[in-house]
Amino acid sequence: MRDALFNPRFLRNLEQLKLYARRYPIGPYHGERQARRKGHGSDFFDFRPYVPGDDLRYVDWNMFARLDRLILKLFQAEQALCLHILVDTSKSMSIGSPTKLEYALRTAAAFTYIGLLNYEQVGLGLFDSALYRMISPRRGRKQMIHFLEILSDARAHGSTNLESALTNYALQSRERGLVVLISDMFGDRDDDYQRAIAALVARRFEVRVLQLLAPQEVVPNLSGDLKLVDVETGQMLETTADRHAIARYRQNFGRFCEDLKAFCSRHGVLHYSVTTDIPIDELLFIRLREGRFLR
Amino acid sequence: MSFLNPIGLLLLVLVPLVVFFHLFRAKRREVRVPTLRFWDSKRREQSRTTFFACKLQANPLLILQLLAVILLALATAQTTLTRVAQGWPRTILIVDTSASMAADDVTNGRLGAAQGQAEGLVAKLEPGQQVMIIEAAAHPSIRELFTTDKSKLQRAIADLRPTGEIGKIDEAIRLAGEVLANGPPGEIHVFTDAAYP
Repeated sequence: MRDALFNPRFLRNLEQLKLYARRYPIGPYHGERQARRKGHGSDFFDFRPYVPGDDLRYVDWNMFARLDRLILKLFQAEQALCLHILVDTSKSMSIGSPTKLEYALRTAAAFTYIGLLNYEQVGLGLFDSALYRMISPRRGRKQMIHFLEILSDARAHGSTNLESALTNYALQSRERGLVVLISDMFGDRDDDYQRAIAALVARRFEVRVLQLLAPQEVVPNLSGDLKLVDVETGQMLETTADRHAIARYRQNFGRFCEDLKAFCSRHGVLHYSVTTDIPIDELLFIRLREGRFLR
Repeated sequence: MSFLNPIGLLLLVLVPLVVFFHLFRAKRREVRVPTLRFWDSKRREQSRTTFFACKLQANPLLILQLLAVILLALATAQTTLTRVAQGWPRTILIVDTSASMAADDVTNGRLGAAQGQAEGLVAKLEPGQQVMIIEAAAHPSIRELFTTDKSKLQRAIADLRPTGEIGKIDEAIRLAGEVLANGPPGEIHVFTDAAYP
């Protein structure tokens, strides 16, 4: 993965990308993003009368010469965004070629690189049925190696419990910010993703869902007598993949994706669904820009 | 129903063999999927039933194979179904009245049993069917000419008595054959104890 990510041309292109956030959560660090509040940035924000104790460096002396009053110049705050990258490493992510997990880890690494390069704080969470690895938000390009080591070690295992993992992350994370959730969203219950996303939204995170799907999940290329094995639970289903069975599958799958999309839309969550046969360059430089994940 | 070659029924041992091979037929292709939730729930229910129910669920191929084996076994065993033919326009009943028919080793005596069967056959006659009765004694004689009158026929049968003579069944059959040689086709029924000297 490191080789793929550190391809010079790929890196050069990544450096042109920035994270897109609709609202900038207040973070403790000074950054490059202009906040909608006063602070110590370089762009003018407002005036206000001087009160004893104010820093004299911000007094507008031209105004004082004209009006004979001490007026303080206020500037827009510039702060860093706190980016939380949550990656699903459950067994269901081992499907496809490349596997959804490989694709998810590369995408997560790219997001990490973009974030760190733009002086943002970046945190990482890996989960399956529970949150098992969490890196608190940190800044600086030097952190990239640390993130890469953790992402490279990730293996697909366990079942999925989005609610448990994401609720846990929301409770443990001290910094609010932008969450990029990379998962296939196949939880162990029908309402699993709903509860998970609701938990993040309730904790005032701005949530983005990048749903990864293998092409064969969208259009199953199956026929004949089959024994389907759920990779997470081991449950088996003997079926005949005839025309009707495939049509029924596609109907159910389509309904699930539509429900997810509608739920995200209702809760102000940006959702983007992608299949792993799309080259990762195309995903990052074209599709996620269109999907307003990056700019 | 009887079997002329009962040893052919041994082929029925193939029935459990077919079922056995069906149970362990070529395995289904195993496909790993991220979740089963999108597959038809009705089909999913089937997977939860028992091993045998799952393996032997309505399978036309299995039913055809079992049917083929059973038919093959019945054919090899030469299954026969014996019943008195009916429906010919003319029927001749030959009743043996020789001395041996006087024996009472069966219920109503041998002649009584023969008369009973002959009367039963007459009772089942269809309208328009003609019957002749020949007594097979030392000299075969026609006791009733072709008639459709059941009462006359039954009376003629009831009047038969053992003669104490040697029965000439072969001559009686020859006589019946000559009678049937001319005119519409017919059939001959012989009621005898087959005790020939």
